[in-house]
Amino acid sequence: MAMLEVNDINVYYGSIHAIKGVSFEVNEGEIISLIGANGAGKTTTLHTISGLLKSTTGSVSFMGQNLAHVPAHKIVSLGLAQVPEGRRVFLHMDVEENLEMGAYTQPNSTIKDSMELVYERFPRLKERRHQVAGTLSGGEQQMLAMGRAMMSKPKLLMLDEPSMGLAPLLVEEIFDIITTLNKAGTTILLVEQNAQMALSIADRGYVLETGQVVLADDAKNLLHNDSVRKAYLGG
Amino acid sequence: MLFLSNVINGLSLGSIYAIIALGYTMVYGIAKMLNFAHGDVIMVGAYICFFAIARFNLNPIIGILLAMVVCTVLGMTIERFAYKPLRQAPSLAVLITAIGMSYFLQNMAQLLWTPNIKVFPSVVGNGAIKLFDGQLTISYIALITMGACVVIMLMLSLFTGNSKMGKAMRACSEDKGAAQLMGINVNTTISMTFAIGSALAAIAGFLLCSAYPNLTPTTGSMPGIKAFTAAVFGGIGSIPGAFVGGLLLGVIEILAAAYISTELSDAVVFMVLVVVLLVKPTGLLGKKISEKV
Repeated sequence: MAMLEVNDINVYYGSIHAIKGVSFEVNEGEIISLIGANGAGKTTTLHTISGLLKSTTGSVSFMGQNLAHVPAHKIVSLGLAQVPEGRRVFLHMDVEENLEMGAYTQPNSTIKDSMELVYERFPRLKERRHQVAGTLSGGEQQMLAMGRAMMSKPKLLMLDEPSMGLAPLLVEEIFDIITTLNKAGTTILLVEQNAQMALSIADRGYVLETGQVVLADDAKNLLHNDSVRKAYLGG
Repeated sequence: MLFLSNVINGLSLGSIYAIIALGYTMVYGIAKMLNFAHGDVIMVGAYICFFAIARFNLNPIIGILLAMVVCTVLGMTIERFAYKPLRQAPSLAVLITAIGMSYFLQNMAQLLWTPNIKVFPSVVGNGAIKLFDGQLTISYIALITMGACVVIMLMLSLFTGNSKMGKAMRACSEDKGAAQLMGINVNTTISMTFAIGSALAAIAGFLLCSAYPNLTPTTGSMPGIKAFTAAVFGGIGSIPGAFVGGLLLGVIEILAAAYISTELSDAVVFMVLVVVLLVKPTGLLGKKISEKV
């Protein structure tokens, strides 16, 4: 059984039908990329999995548990964390407080150790641990958002456009960290517009277009697929 | 010396505004709504104190604690039944509901306790300390009010700065979606904010009526509006802002009454607010960090 099973979900914003019967699955240990253009429904899909939005049909189940009636704030403690689009770190709080918020569902006694782990992964955050998040650079905020999500010790980490607005060098650094996290045992669901990068580290990929999955294949095959190359990889 | 005495009176009045303004600003910071019924929760708190102390002869401390419990329950109930169903509604609907709730509480109080003035018992007494050979007198109630304000302010700062719940409140006030992704229960947090604000309102009710002992069902409305002004003045959503805004407003009001005109003192207060907002639209201590994209 797959770790995360998304089965025929439909999501509406008022009268706008944003997600039209999307289904996919993520197996333990995989890196899965969800690629697609602006407005394809990638973020909506993640928010539905996280419980911020509700699907009218179908189901989302995580490790065998149906999430339909689990409120958003309870989903994290199941081991499902999200690094939201645009990072959304708490700008008025300092780095350490942001990390503490990430560990909100964890027992207090474990917070220090988790924090050390995050600092090991992101030494730059340690240097700035008493700096207010709003004064960090975009790349540092992305690291903080990832570190914050790691604090909840997720089994499955969902990342929404971690490369957005970052310089190419930083993008590479972020993707390196994603691969490292995966090797350390975290399953990854990656949503990206940067299809090249996303597919190059993924095991499998799904292509979303206007709220539907139009292609699903091994990441290698998608990288060489003609229509994908035309639409997302610049020919 | 008269000036100094006016300033102290202003600080004392301002302390009451500050305590009320804290309730406004915390609720605004987290629920992003103006709870115009807040002033009337103060009135309810004052009535509970009145009945506990004057009618049932309870110890004043017990009276205040009782009022805090009643107001906390009242505040949480108002939030649960009047505001929570409107979480997704346009802010205008919420605002009108809050005003409606304010009238509801006032009319309820008229029904239960009649519109007649009740004279609040003088718990603290009329004592005062005299300084500089009696040239400067500071009443005990003024001292207690200022002391209470400082203690409340310090405790709230510690709470929001260090406790897990307090930090969760700050996280919710910045980004509810992200807070939920952290596992924070936003509904509980909002409810908690109303509880704290309403408990403070009860204290404010006691202090207000100890200084100005005429208690009627509309007792809370004018101080409520002033405190709201103080919260905006200091930067709505900011806890130190409410403190500074409240104190300044009290001082300006008393000085304007003493040196300009008693009738115009409110006008001066609101004029200063307009000027502050023109120069600094986020209020004195309101902050704005631009988002990086």
